[in-house]
Amino acid sequence: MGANDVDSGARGWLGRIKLWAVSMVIVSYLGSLGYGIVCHTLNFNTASHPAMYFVVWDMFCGWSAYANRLHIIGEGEDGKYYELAPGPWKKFTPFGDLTRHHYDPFLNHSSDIVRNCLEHTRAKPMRRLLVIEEYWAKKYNLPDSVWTHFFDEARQKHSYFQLRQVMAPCGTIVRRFPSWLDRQNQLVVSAQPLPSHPDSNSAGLSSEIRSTMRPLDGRTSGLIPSLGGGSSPSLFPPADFERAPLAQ
Amino acid sequence: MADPAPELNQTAADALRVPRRGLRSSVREFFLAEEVPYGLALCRMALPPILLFVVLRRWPHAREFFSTDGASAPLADNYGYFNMLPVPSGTVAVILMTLLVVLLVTTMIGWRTRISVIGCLVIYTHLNMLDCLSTFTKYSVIASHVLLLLSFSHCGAVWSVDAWLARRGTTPPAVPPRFPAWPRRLMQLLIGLIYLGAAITKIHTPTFFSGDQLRFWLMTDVNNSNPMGEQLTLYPVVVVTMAYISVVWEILFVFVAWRGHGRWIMLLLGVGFHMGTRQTLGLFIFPLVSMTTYLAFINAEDVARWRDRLARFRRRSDSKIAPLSPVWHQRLALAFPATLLVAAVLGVELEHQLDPYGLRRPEGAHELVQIDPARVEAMLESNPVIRPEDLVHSLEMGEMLVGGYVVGHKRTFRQGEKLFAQCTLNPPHPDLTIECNLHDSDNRLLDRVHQVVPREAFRANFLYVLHDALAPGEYALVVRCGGQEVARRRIVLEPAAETVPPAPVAN
Repeated sequence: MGANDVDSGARGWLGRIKLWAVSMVIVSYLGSLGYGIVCHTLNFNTASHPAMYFVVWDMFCGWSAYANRLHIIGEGEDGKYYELAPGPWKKFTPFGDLTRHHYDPFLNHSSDIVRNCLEHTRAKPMRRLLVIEEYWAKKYNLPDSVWTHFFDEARQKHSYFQLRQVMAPCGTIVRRFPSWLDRQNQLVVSAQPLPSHPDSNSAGLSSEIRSTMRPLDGRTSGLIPSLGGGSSPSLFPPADFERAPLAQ
Repeated sequence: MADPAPELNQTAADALRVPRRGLRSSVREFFLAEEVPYGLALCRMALPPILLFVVLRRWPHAREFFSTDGASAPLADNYGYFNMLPVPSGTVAVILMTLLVVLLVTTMIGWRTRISVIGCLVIYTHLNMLDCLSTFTKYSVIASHVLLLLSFSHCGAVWSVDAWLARRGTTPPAVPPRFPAWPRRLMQLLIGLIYLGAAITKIHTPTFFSGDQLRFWLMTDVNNSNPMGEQLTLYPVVVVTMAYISVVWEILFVFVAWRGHGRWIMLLLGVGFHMGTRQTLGLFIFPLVSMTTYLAFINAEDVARWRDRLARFRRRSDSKIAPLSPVWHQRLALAFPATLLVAAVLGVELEHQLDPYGLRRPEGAHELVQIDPARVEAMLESNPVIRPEDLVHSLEMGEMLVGGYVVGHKRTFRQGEKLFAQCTLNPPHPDLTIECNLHDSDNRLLDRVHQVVPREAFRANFLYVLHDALAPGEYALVVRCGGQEVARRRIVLEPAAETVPPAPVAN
């Protein structure tokens, strides 16, 4: 057996090992991606490990009709309130014009943010630290050109606030509360009487609406929608143009 | 499934001569056919500038975001895996960020490419996972995947400093080197599977195809400004159409984007989709990172074709390349670690001078900002019940319904026309009775229509046929919810067109 034969044999052996290694890498990589797709499709194990974030492609899975912000404040022993996030140093807005602490919807890192702020400032002694959530309807974000397509009235933005966390002066979490939006979701499925339709004949009709009524008003008129519209997302009633939509 | 670009070695070429290949040889050809890694070289050059933009913006905040001297926010904590990754000290975090900047530059120019890419992969992924609030997103994940695949590849073999040095070595290669195509194939499959997963997300998401979800996305202001998206909320039918097209495209991509016209159609649709998210959702980095992976679809045949076209405009120089002396090769070999070392030292010093927390200012550390007591009082006020006017998202009027939405928006109608009024509600809302009443110009109630809107419905639609019993003039549609007026739209009624015969005054 010559030296060339030995060399070519060794090269072939190394080539086979390399081929196996490459095959293993390909199979492992595609297997990981495939596992993520399957887990995501079947909603199984998607949050079992941080590594799942690398193989589950659930971009933009959250949505809401309300915009929200987080306010992290401290109540000093002097009775005054102080802003603890963002810190008083140079602000950083990672993805738009919001500072970093607004991107913590689960409040898993708020205590670290608070501790860091207190450690690196001349902070007064604190009595308690609060994380407060602010919500408002997203329609108030719309520019005027769009707003005027939806409403004639001027916008009157209203914010809803909800205390989410109470922390001790050291940053230890003392109490947590559900978010305002979660609370609203609970409220809409809890037992609530359906606000009754104000019937013209009923004595309960508000004086405001009564003052706008014409003498003969009181009959049901117009096209009353049927709610048995099947699975269509539209609640538009079946067209029936033979009926007079206007009573008079 | 393979595109015609990779040029096979002799063994593979022999295998191709077999008239009918089995699945195994097809898969082997798909992954192992040898090619010049032009596509991956383009990825290597395109991704680092994008990541540099991300990294350089965060470099002054490295101490705050990625170190024990700040407020790191490890992703693993969200999953319940506390202390999974080591959090560096402040100085080490600054060194790592500085090295990452240098390594991204060396990756881009292809200097010590393999080491640079591996360094980028390790440091970038590690630091990203330490800040899930302001750094780690899905585009970070895609970038990490791309860096991983580039680290397996020979992306520095062409169009790089390494290739330039190789041509000036003692034994310069006569032709561009060829390597198995599998890293490029995996990158192609990666983006295809990402789109497939994204399509599954949309299929899972209730109300995606009704357009409600997309409409609220378009109003979201947590990303960069998206004025086009806000304007697009006026055209929900367009939004719904785009929703269907995007899902069909996302599903088809992994099956169609391999060769022929399908490749260009899928890639151009992808570019349009991502540029659209830039304009409508305010996403800046995600589209760029995603489109970087498209470069993996460029093969040697494309490059040869473009070179031929360019050659018409460029005069080819046949000057012989002089080899560098061995001394210079040694110096350049030492220059790489020296650059990293010098950059790290300079980075630490610069960050010290910048004093991110302001601790070394003459006036001392910052003081906390006091908040207006009235503002705090408003924050601490309990307001659990939604105002009726906040239950209503919009009141639109138009001439017909398409896809469940009002189209042909207008506020001037003629007698005899139909007026479709649509009241969109903000979820969550309880079961509601919504009234949409017609008032005259003196605000007298002319007609009252109501409907019950269950909690799962987002829209209440009302139809008015503007009968000629209504005199031309100004009217108003008034929406009432919970016994309270929540929206009002003025409309103008004009006489019927002359071609329409007048109808009886009363029914």
